[in-house]
Amino acid sequence: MSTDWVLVAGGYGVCALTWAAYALLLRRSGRARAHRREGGP
Amino acid sequence: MSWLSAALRGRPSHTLVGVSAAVTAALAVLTDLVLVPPDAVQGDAQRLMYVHVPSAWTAYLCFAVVLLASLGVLAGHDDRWDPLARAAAELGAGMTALTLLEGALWGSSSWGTWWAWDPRVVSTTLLLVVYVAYLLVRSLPGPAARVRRRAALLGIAAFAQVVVVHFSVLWWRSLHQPPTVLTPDQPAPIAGSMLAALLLSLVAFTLGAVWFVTGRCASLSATSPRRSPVEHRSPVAAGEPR
Repeated sequence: MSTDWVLVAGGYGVCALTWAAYALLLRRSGRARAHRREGGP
Repeated sequence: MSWLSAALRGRPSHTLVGVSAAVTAALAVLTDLVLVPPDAVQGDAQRLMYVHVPSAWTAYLCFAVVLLASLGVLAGHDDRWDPLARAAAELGAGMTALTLLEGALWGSSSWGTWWAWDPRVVSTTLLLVVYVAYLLVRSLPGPAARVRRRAALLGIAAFAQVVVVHFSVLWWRSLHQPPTVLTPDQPAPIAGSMLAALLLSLVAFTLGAVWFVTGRCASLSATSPRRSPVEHRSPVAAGEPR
């Protein structure tokens, strides 16, 4: 694998991780919302 | 804009936006990495453009939403706009960091360095600092109405940095190339297949942004207190003991 492809893989990998982190944040905040709706603190 | 969030979050339409974003992203990755040929000069490293530019575009878009939502908070004193501003700023800050990281990777190949004291790079770093500061200001203690107003003022002022970033390559001598797509030169100086791949990635990022911001906005609206304890007090007529 050439250096260029290592850089490209790194760039796309970081991008995927970033969006995964935002998906996780959304999932967690959705759970908090559901908890609040059910009468939690 | 909780009406928009309510229209999407927790309903099939929100899931549909998320699935559309994922499918478009998968198609974009296939196009970017397999179907589109490498650049004649930069080789395969140029493929980073298909994530670098959409990241920057998404950050701009998010900060424009912060600006509009902040104007809504100040104009209407409407706390429904505040969660939208926060959600957009959260994503915008992350996309700015992603833009810088991908730019460093691309720069290491095309410029021969990970970092340069270049107007575009430095102004984008300042953009990240400004919006991280915006998010920190939101967490300062104080009455909710005052915090919202303070954040809205900063959210409006901060957008000036977006303008600086965008025009930095035209105002100063820069290593960074000038705008390729948003240029008065017609046709745009980019191969048709590369432009199509770039537009597909832009659509994927934009759908992802709509999915995150609307969902996050709905959650913030539901979980955060809308009014401070002071605002929750029962109205007391003038002259009556509190």
